Amino acid sequence: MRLQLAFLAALAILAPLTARAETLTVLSLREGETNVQWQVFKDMIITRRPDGLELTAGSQTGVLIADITLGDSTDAKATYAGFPHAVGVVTNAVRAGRIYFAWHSPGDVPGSLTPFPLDVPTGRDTVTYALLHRSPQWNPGVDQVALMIPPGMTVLVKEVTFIRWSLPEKIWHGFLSLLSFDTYKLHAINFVWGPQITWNPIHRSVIWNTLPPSGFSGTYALNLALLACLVAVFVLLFRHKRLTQDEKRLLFARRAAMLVLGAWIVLDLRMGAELLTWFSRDFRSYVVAEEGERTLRNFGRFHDFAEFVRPLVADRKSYVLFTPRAYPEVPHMRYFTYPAVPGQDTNDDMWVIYNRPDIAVINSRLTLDGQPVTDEGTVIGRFDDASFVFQVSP
Amino acid sequence: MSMLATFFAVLFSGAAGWLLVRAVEGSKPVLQPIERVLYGLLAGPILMMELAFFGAWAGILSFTLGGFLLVHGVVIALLAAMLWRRKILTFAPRGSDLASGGMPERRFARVGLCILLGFMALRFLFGTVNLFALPTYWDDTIDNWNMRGKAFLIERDIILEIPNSNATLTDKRTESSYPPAVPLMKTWISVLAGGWYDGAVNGLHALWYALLVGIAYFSLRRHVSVGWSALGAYMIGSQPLVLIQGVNPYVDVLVAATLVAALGSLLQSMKSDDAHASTWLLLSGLMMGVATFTKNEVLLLHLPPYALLLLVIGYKHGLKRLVTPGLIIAAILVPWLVFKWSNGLTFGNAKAIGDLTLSWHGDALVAMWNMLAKEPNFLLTPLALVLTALFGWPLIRRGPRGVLAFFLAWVLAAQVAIYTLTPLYVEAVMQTGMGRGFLQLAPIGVMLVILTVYGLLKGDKA
Repeated sequence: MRLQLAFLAALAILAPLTARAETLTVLSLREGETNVQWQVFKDMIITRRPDGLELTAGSQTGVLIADITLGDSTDAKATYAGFPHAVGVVTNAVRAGRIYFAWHSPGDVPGSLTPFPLDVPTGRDTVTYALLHRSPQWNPGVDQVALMIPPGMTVLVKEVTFIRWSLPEKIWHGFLSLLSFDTYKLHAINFVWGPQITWNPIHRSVIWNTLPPSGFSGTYALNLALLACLVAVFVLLFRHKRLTQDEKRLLFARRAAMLVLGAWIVLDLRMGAELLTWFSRDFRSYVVAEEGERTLRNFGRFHDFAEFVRPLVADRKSYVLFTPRAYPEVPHMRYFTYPAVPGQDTNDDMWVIYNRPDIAVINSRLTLDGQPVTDEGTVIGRFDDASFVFQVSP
Repeated sequence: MSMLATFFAVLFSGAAGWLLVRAVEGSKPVLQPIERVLYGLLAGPILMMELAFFGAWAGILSFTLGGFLLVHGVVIALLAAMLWRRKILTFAPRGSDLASGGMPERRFARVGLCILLGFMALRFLFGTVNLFALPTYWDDTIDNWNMRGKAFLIERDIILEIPNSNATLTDKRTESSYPPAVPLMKTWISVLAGGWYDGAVNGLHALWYALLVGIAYFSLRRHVSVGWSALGAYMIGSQPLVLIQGVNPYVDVLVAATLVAALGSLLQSMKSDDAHASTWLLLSGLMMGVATFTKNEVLLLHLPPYALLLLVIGYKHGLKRLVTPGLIIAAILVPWLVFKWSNGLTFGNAKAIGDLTLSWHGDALVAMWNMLAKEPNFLLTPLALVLTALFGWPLIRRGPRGVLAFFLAWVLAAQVAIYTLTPLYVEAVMQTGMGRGFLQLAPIGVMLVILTVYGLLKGDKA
């Protein structure tokens, strides 16, 4: 009987999660589907296309603006409960660039807009999201929304969609966000971020794109929840009149220990799974990958390159090294090729080039952006199109 | 093939360590046979490398196969001969009994504990496979632990200033100020392997994670049942930062293992009769001596509270019993200090202690709070310790729990002082060195939690 009641209770709690509660408000810019009146300000050319409006900003930032009501306008102090949390802009762009979604609220200076960046990629029908709820200026009273296009940029805008999630959906996405894993980065030897809580799938997809991550710490939430439970157990137990003090102490110790151990195991399962994905990714990308195709975390194929170079510089004290960045490649190369050490003496006759498409061999000379930097020589080992070892002829 | 070099290097050094531990026990063995192996594997490599280092400094040997074999051969021969003469060269003399109690009575608890240990073992094994198979990745390994080992291998001698990547030499007061035991162990492995192999030299570090978990288990086992000890071992080994460092070529897990061994032995001396207490004190001194030759901070952070505890605990058995443990620590530490002083090396970790100026850095406290409360580096160890201190206070004020609590409190307070009052606050704010300092203490924290909760549930009185 108790099992049946528990099952029904679980159903009652979970049932709302099955209802699709995500709300979309779509502002279409497609021909024949436009549902708000857009106006143009500043120096911008608008071209009507069948699938949207092509916006080309001139020498100033162009603005496309529309009057709109999104929240409950009769309740200016309404919470965000009925108001969009994010906006998605559907675009075609030949070149990637940053545009801005912007808004005006009744209390703002007339004509002023609060911008929120949107990094639009190249491609067709790409959707770029902005998590508006993360801006403290985003509010239910917004009366105008706008797209701001920087000078010289062209983008075809098809649709602007406002999205909000209901409470059950947010709870569900909050749970899913705890299972979103970071990747194995350089800081992991000193600390790990652990589970992060976000409330919608868009935020979940970008948790790890910032340092620190943009969610709420799941570890902190667990610590607080655990403390709250322990306080509750403590209060309930010590108000109990029929137990002696010693019995209360023993019972509290037992229940506290079980609570902490239970929470420990939950957190360990989560973190253990994350570490296993890290190990697994390294195993697949390097340990079992073909030599020459192996990659390791943020190093790409660097380690295979270092292994390729090592025998070529084994009998030397130094060589010149060119890499895309000084760190971490230079100190790592120093370690891998030691006692041959990368130096900066351009009179050196051995040049090691890693991932530098701007460096090439032209007329038997090493060139940087087409300009010769060495005397004549030969490529004594080529790793790929942009990585090789060049030796100046004696 | 290169993994075999790791195995044999550890085998030779571990054998010397086992003999040394057996010699320290003398006619009053206190360790279980497997404990003796663990202690030997921990002490042997570090001390053999110290002997090799000072042998090279004295001009007696080079860092070659012959040099390392000479050190190991002499030590093993001398110790074996000494033990044979004293008729105590026995392989499995049984030491002090362990605490009573087996696995949990409830099947659910037994199975659950086994599953958790299996999950921990799975992560460790997977990480170890990668440790042997991946190239070196981390900065401190690239600049210090492996770089110096490689330099010793190439030079076949002590080298303090290594060619840098801009036609300069590294400042010897940075990486070379660290004890050379770990880099030399990598040199020893490479000499056996016939060349430098990242997998072979890095695979060594997995041993120290296993030793940490094993020694912690047995340290707990002398106070609590199999089930509780296994739970403690799981809680220590499952902490993410402990595991990550355990399967990567860093040294803080080694430091943690030596501290657990030193303190665990010290705790046992409190419960033993005079004769066996002496042995435990000797073992404790040996392990703390080994600790001082792993990383510099042991000298400044861990040795002072340990020395105080040694004095207080040993006093009960007579101050004379402290002489030999003190001499053992001095025998390991003093030559290294003399070397540092005579070569102008610093006494801090890559930063001279004397160069540190004092000023307040409150943001370090925020960083500490974030690390301990908002990040799962040590899972729930920080909260568990706070609860233990609050509700187990009557129990942790004295006895073995008091020893652990005192040590933890002292070292934590010292770390807080360093991070809030010196330029090393950067290590806290950037969350670099700070986490590793906490990692060295985390196993001791778990041991304190286990012993205290066990006592509370048993109804122990203060």
